[in-house]
Amino acid sequence: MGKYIFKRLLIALPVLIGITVIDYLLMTAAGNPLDMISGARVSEAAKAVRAEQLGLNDPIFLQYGRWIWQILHGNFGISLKTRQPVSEMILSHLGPTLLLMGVSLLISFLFTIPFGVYSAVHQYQAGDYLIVGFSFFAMSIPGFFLSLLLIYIFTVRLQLLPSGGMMTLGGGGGFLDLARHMVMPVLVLSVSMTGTNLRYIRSAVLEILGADYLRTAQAKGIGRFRVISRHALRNALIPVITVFGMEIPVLFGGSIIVEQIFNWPGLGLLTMSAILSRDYPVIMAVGLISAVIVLIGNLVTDLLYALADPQVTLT
Amino acid sequence: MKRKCFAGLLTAVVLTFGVFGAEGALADGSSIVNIGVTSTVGSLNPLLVVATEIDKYASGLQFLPLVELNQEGEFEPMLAESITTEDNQTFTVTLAEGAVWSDGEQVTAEDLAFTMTRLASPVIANTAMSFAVIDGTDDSGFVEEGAKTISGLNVVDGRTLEIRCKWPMSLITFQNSYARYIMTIPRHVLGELSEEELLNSTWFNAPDVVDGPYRAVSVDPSHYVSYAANENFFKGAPSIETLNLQIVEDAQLLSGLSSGEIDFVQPTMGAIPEEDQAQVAALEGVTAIYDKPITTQSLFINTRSVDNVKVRQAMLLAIDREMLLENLLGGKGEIDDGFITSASPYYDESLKAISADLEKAKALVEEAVSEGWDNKRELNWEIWAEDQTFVNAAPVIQSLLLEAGIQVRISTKDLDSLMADAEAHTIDLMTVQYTYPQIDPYLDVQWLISDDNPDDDYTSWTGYSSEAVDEALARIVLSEDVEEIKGEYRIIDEDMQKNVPMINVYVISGLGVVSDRLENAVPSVYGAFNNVEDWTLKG
Repeated sequence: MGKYIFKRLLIALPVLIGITVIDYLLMTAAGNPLDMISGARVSEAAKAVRAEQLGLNDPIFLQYGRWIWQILHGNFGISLKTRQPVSEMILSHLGPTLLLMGVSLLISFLFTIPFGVYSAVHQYQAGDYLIVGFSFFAMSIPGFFLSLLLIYIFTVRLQLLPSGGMMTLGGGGGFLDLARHMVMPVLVLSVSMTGTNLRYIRSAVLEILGADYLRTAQAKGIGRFRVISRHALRNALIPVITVFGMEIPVLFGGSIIVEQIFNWPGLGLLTMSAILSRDYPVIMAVGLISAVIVLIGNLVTDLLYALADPQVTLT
Repeated sequence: MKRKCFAGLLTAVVLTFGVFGAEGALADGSSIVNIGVTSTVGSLNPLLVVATEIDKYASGLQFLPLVELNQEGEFEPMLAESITTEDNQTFTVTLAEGAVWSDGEQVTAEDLAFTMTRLASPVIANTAMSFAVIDGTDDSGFVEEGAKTISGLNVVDGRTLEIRCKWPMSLITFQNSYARYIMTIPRHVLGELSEEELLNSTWFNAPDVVDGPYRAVSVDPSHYVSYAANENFFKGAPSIETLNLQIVEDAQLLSGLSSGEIDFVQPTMGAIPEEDQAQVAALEGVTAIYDKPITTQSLFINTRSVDNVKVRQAMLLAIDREMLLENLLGGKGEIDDGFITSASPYYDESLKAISADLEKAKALVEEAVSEGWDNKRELNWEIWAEDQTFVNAAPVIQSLLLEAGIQVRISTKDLDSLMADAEAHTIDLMTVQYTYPQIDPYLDVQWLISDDNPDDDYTSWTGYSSEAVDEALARIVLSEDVEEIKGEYRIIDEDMQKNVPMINVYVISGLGVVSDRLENAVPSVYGAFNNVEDWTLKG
């Protein structure tokens, strides 16, 4: 297992470097951040000095080389816009994003697994239709629309939940305050994931329910609950793990829109703001971290395969 | 079955926490006021502030500018008690009596000189204002790295600083271009820091010493700035304990105001979309106020690429601005030519805006074609994507221009990209909301339409210059006489009608909103925060 992980990490290294090269090229192709500073009061002389200080006049490969050298020394640089250390900015925003993603993923799976199995076991019955109907609804409804709908109902009409943020600014904070702020963004992300995942799990369990070994198990007189929970569910976990692996990048990307609508202080809004202001160090750091998370997500998925299915061997 | 029950139970618990945890109103009457803004904050460091409204006000709450415009568009003393000049070249700044930092130290002329010296540092390289005018700086406006002072600054006494300039300018221009943007920082706290350290200091995000009514305690530039009251503010401790700038999407202002989460929206920091304005105005619990028409919808024409003046004149004639004002803004604004609006002391009622005349526009385009203008050429027109009202107006204007014989291709851009493209001169036309300070639009006008650089390196968005405009500007910068300045701006505005480097599509009366629970707060374009320490909550 250790050897496998080491091998995967080694393979991940050139992939990561490739991603950062492409990111850097795309980013610099978009233009120079100082070009955005324009107006009657703007000092052109100061812009020229700033460009020199930031090395923006150097060839791109030199700028990239400098950035990668900084990264190798554990330094993500300074934000061009806020002049704050990028590592501090990332750290302070990563937590809220991971919290939002983690809770949404958890809630989604807490719903998906039992209801997906129920739907498969009760195929073509009223409960199944209800769950499949919900699944289609959840997949179809755009996240931004659901967000606005929830804000309209719970904030504007009922005045029960805050429309944005993570904590009440200047308030006492605490778990309840956090929970209030999380309800709507978590709901939006969970609904979207649940819709997709329900379909995967239902079809995976349906496929397994028809398998010979389950019929044999049932013929042996093992109870229906044990057959499903001990034999069917474990085998149905393989596609669930695949879905889990796929959800991580989707969540990372999808949360940008949700974070923006709900003003959630995570990486999403930070990234949007950095892209719009061409804040190179922040864009690159977010790109690198996203790539690392996706690569780790893939690795964890592969490891979980082996845990769930003894037939899978990691070499 | 137990597991399913558990999952359902857990979700119900989370939702219940959310809903019942919210017992009471969203804005629960505590001493917290939320200001809705729609732009992100750059930096709270006054040395790095760029010339955006949000940056200026976000820093100005902590470190007072010397003066600020009030609701009438006149200069009001903030940190300075007075600014005077006898020769339009040496300006004497006298700081307010009793002005103290929050730690009890007096705010001194030394602090101001220190701030200005750092603003002129090549390491700081502030882009918000050039100090080239200050005696003792080089042609680029810089002093030597690590300089202790600028030779043009003379500390007369603890409260008085003399600022000597290389060339004359009117007191109005000095105040509008410099005194509004210089925010003094404490020398006794930051004096030992190197310029590099000052540049990257995060101290400004939670300063322990300020001279303004508030100090930031928590900052996330993409999301919010949270301030606590400065109990030792020399003009009196603010009664609102916590003031928050909440950065939201413009469409969220309506929901925030409806729910009571947002208490205050100032027109230039929080742009309420036109389509939401009627609903906002009808909301209960808030008061919506349309300010004087100040912000213009300016269509800048790159005169180096659209070099036939008849084509530009045809554009002005083709656009039915009255129709746009009525149909898009519900008449909440006005139509003017040039830079001066009815909110300005220099407004000349006798100068009538040119009315739309499509036939005349067609004739002008035909004349231009006979002079070699290629009427098959598609002009590249970029507009600000977030200005939904103008995004809706653009296709109407496009079809009017097409009818006149001018083809344009519309692209919508975010503000930063728009600025970058305008700076790179990759566009023919650009439209953006531009607020010209009506008390002194000199600097903006000079930059926009007085480009004396004949080569390809021109810097202004229009690349335009004219002798008449240059001469008028030269007189404006030295004059204090309202009637004289009024006459000069008339010359400039007439030049805009004649040579059309810029079309003032319409002037917007900005919508500001204040919650009825907040007293003494007026959401005006200028001066909204001048008296923030006097804001109180009812009850």
